[in-house]
Amino acid sequence: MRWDTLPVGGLGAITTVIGVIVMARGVGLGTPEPILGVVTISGSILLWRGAVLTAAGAMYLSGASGGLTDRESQATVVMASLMIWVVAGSDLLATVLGAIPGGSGVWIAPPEAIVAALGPPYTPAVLLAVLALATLRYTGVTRP
Amino acid sequence: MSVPSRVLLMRHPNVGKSALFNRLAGTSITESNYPGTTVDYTESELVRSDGSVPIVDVPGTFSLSPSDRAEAVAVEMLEDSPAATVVCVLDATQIERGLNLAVEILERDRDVIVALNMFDEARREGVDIDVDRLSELLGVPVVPTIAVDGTGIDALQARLDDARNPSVQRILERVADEGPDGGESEPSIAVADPSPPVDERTPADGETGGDDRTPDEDGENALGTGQRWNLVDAIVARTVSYRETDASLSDQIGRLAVSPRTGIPFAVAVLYGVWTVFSAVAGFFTDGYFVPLFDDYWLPWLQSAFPMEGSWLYFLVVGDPTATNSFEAFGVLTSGLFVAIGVVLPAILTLYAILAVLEDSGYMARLAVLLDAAFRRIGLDGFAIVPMVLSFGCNVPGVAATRSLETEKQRFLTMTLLSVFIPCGAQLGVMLSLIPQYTGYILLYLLAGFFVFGAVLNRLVPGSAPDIVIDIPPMRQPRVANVTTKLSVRVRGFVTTAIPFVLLGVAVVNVLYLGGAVEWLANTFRPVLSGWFGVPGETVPALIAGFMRKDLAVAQLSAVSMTPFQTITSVVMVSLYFPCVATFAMLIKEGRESGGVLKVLGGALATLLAALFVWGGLLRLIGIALGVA
Repeated sequence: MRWDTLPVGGLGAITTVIGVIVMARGVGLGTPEPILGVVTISGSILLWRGAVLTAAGAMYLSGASGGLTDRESQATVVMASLMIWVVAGSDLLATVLGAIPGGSGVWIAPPEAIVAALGPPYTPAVLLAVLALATLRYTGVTRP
Repeated sequence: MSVPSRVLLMRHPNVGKSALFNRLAGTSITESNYPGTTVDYTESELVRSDGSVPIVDVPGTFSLSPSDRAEAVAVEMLEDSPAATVVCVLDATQIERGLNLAVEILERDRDVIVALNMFDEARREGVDIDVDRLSELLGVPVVPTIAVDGTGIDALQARLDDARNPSVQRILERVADEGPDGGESEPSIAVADPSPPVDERTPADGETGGDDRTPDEDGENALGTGQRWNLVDAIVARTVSYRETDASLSDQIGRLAVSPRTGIPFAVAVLYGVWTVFSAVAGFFTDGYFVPLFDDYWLPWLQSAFPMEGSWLYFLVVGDPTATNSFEAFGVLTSGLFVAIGVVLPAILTLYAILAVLEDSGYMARLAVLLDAAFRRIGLDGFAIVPMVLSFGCNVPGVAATRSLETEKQRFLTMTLLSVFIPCGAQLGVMLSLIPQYTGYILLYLLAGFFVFGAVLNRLVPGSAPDIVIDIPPMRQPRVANVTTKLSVRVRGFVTTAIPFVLLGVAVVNVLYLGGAVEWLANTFRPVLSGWFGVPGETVPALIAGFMRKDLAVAQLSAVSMTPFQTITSVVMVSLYFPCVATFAMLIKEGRESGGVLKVLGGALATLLAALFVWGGLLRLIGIALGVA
């Protein structure tokens, strides 16, 4: 077993659990808000977001169970990371673009207001996206 | 050496020819519709030291024996330009198929130069091509290119004058003289082989069949299919060598993207990204800037500056003189301009940009492959996902994108289903903010309707749904230059062709208002709405508003006192009952080129009436069964 199987498997387990929690929230089950003051499970289309995270978690687990020795299991893991980055990136973009128009009579909000919008709490996908950066190591594997 | 009077770029689909065209053509690219068809092609001017010559990006074709409309247009363009120089763009990773087309073009006595595109990809995949030897055998210049980064483009331009028109007989002689490397045996290149090659496609019913000409039938420069493939095999045996390589990570991701187990979750994530980015960017422009611009500045200025208040002309152009926002004014230059510029334009700009990125990355073709089986069940093919994705942003570009589909039947089915069942991004956004707990269920119900009615229409509507060949390009990083060129060409085409129709649509709505037709419709349908669907009569104004903007219609519904189930039913009805004015205008425009306006509009209206009463009524039955209606 390669040494990186365990952390990738762990990332898969965490992502799957978080995805299930997001989906639960999406169908109306209550969760604390925000969690530890850093994570928020709020906003729209939670069911969709949760499904993506759950699937990404399952793909991490599938890649880890494949041993990460072959290119296919590595590609599965990178693909799972891409899914998390898509969700996190689009969430962040929505936050930034939502903060730029200043409202009535103000065309562009002051810079400090825009920066403040980027502060915590964050969606789970944003935090997972940071952890998923570790899987970038597989993109550096080149053919002989 | 001859100076070309016109340059045609010909190739298979997905060989990176558009990128090569963009490199050669510069910024003056225009997209045109080939007369009498819905096939688009692009053209521009190739600037040379001795002046400029027209350059045309011919629709992709697998051979000169057309099996679909786009291929027929490609062949017609070649035949209409006997003096043109043909740049035959080959995918170097699949050189055999490209060479087959090149030989076919040479059989038609055209001056040819070969661009071996994706040369870097071929090297990475272990395909080594002896360019000089290939050029000698074919008797035409062969230039390796990497269009995405511009490698080889200058050399290709410089050698255009060297394009040659060698006889195929001479190519056969040269190939026979040289003999294959290593003394391998090979099929005779002089005798026709009656069996078609493995990847030769089967044409659809009623379409032109494969090329089975013989030299005797078409003159001495023409080959039969088997002879041509034997010649191609012989050329490849002399010029190409293959090395063993492992699949790269991007190759693997490309494969996983078409495998249902990993491809479907990935597609769900990509579609989430598409929708979220669309909502964020389009909302940024529309709600952040265009709404205040129109409501606070444009509308008050026009209301005070336009003369003849109270006249029919004022009502048509400016609309309601007491309106406080551009949506409620209903004038051509108030609501019309706002919908066209403030709502539709940001939407299509965003969606076209996303689509260009997905296409350039190679993912769009994979998504089409992944979803092909599902769409086949309703008479469509995997490429129907493009208009569908666009429609989730805005139905207008969605309807416009149906022109890429193959048959009139497919275009009619897609236009109808999109305009009836797919809620636009603005509408979804309002649904999510007003009734987030129900939006997912409403969306699922509408998607189910899309496929159920699609299956029914597929049986009822005459016409064919031919098999298609989806050529999958390699996964690669999208290039900014490609994306911006595609974006600018599409947006320019959309602005010049669609926006006038949107403005005209608003004018027509105003005339209907003036003539009392809208009020009559409202009064007529009020008892039906209450009786059949069980929603209050107060929803009628919202349904009428939905003809202008469905998102604001949903917002209006929130002000009506209803039970949760009535809310769901009325929101479903807003989606089903009628396309918005901009979509309606596009249906008229595209209908003219897809079987006739009456057929398309009549069919769409019949479908929406059936969908409204059957699907809306079914929803009420479900509600009654669950005890919530």
